[in-house]
Amino acid sequence: MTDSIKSGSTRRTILKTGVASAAMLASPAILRVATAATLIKIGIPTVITGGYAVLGSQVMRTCKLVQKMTGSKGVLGQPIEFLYKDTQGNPADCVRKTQELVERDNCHLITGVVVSSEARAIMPKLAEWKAFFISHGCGDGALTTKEFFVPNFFRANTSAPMGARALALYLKDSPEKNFIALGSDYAWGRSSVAAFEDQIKAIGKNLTDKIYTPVGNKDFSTYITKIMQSGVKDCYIALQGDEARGFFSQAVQYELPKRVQLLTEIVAQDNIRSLGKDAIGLAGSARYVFTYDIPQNKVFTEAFLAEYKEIPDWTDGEMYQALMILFAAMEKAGSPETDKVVKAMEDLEVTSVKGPVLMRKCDHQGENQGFVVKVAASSKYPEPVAEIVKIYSREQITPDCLSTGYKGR
Amino acid sequence: MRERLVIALSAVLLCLVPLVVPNYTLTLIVEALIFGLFAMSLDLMVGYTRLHSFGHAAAYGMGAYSTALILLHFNLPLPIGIILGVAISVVIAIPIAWICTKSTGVSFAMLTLAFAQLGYAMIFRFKDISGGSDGIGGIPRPAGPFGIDFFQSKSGYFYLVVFCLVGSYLLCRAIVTSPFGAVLTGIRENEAKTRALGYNTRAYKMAVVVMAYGFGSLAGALYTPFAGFVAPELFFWLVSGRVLIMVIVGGAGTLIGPILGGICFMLLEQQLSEVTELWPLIFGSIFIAFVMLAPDGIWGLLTKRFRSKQVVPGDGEDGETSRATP
Repeated sequence: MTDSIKSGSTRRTILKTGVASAAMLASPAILRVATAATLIKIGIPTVITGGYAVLGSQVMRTCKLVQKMTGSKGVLGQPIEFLYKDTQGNPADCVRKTQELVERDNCHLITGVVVSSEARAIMPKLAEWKAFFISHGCGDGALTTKEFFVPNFFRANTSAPMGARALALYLKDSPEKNFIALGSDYAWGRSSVAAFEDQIKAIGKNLTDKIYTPVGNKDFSTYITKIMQSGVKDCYIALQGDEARGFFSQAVQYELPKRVQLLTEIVAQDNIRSLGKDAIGLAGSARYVFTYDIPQNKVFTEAFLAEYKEIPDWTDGEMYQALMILFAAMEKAGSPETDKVVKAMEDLEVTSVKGPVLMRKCDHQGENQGFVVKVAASSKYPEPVAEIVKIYSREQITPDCLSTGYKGR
Repeated sequence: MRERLVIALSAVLLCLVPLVVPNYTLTLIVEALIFGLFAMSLDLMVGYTRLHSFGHAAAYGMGAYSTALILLHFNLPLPIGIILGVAISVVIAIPIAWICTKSTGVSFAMLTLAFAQLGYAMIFRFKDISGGSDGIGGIPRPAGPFGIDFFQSKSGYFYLVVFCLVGSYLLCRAIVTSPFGAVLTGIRENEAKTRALGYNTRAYKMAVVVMAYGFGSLAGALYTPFAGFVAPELFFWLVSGRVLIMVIVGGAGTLIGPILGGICFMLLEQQLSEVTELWPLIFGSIFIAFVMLAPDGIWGLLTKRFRSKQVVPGDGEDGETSRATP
């Protein structure tokens, strides 16, 4: 150092160089902070790998589309940034990944959680994390009941009891008296079957048997045999993701759709694809119907078809709706801060791709219309599509507040 | 002496961690320390007694679930909940140890695996109590006793975990350096000879299995109120496999090695999974490399130079010189 000072590099020069170097090194961090301040981060802890990855991939593609659609204007004049994490459909991993989003990435707006049991796992932590979570697809009816209610959680989507209710109302006039149900053995599957049982009994019909399959089950042959041996002509299915694909593929091999009318809480385009022409006649309730002819849905479906050259599935529609509701709440609040968004979300009314939705204050459940659909061949599309046969008003299908029942309806 | 200095210095540095690291890093460190404790518990069986367990997840799961149910259904202070969770697990571990120690070698390993899988299946069978595949959420981190709410904060919980880890390490160290530990080493080296010397080796093996389950369940019990959630995966064989890898990579038969193995495994997994989805492949390669090139594990590598200068041939204290590699 002494030598350098002697050779002309004064202490001041060294200090200047040091300050300049420090500024150079620090500038990315400063820029990062500045950029972070102008971005609205939305955390997507979703299923990227595992049995429900097909649903996670739909979540991500819709988020990417929304990011493109909102562009640099974003919301509140701030661009949107989605941060994706793989939960593998595992509640413990979902807790860890969401914690990572909140604590490390400073992301306090959460959506895109696929599995209801994952939602159940993170909901009690929301207050501690000061995070807001809006469900796009978690169907377990219990999430908005007194037992699990948390202020920072909202559900924009149709729940399992709501889907079952719409289907039961439709089946009221059916001549068939006896039904059998098959569901995945976790929160949503059980909730869906239980809601269907309640609803079907309420209209004077019987559920002769309930079959629960282990989560991640791949071989449904024994269950299909059991359904065929039961002699019942109508079977209610509550399966999603790879489980649904596996079941429907095997059902076709066993010619189950020819012997039994398959009914499902969620008619998914992905399942229709698995069944092929055998899907024609499949009936059920639908959380989102891409053929629903309203301007809001037209904007979405056109953008989606242009981007992906594929029919949007129910998860795409529900994800889009959840994001539109979230954006509307942020606009109303004038801020993306958790407390303000929660307050703005209560009793917020939005007309989305599924029609009018009310995010009711009492239990944070979104009141959605109920769609009953039947799969039919289409001249417009290369695969069969779900066509609406009946729409029930949101008052008819949304359960009583903080409940999964319909005593007050 | 130098080793003790390093341990003391590490303890002091650990105590400073909550003051200097960001919130999320602290979360990771707490989980890593819990896994370190879990790995150390298995080392009692694998490293000191050559009892290879493929089902140590049972200990972790039992501790986690029993603590979860206690904290959810009884209004008890956090430390009492944890202690009761461990006590219940230890009681359940006694018949498990009794049955497993009837066998040796591969049969022993398969029996431990069977018990862990039995626990996994029971979680699904008794879903009204265990929550089935949904797990149990919303597990509280209650204050107390005497209104002490220090452990409710993340940094407070960090100190609780450090206290349990250091306490467990000292206890395990006392066990393995005691005459009891010498018999365990005897069983590891030559069980028939130890039995011929008049020791009831099965009783010793039973005792060490129960102890290992006790410390393992303490790790599970600590995990529960921290995560606020338990899931059946805690009993799954993958957890047993992971902890076995932690022991081997850390250095079996050293106690401190598996702690390091657990911490490294956890932190590396976290970092690698951020970079690539192929992280299990990288992990597998690291494991193979350790087994082939560094059978004494991380601790073995760290202390190699020190040992070559200090250790007199035949000095077997702490199991340092006659360390077993599984």
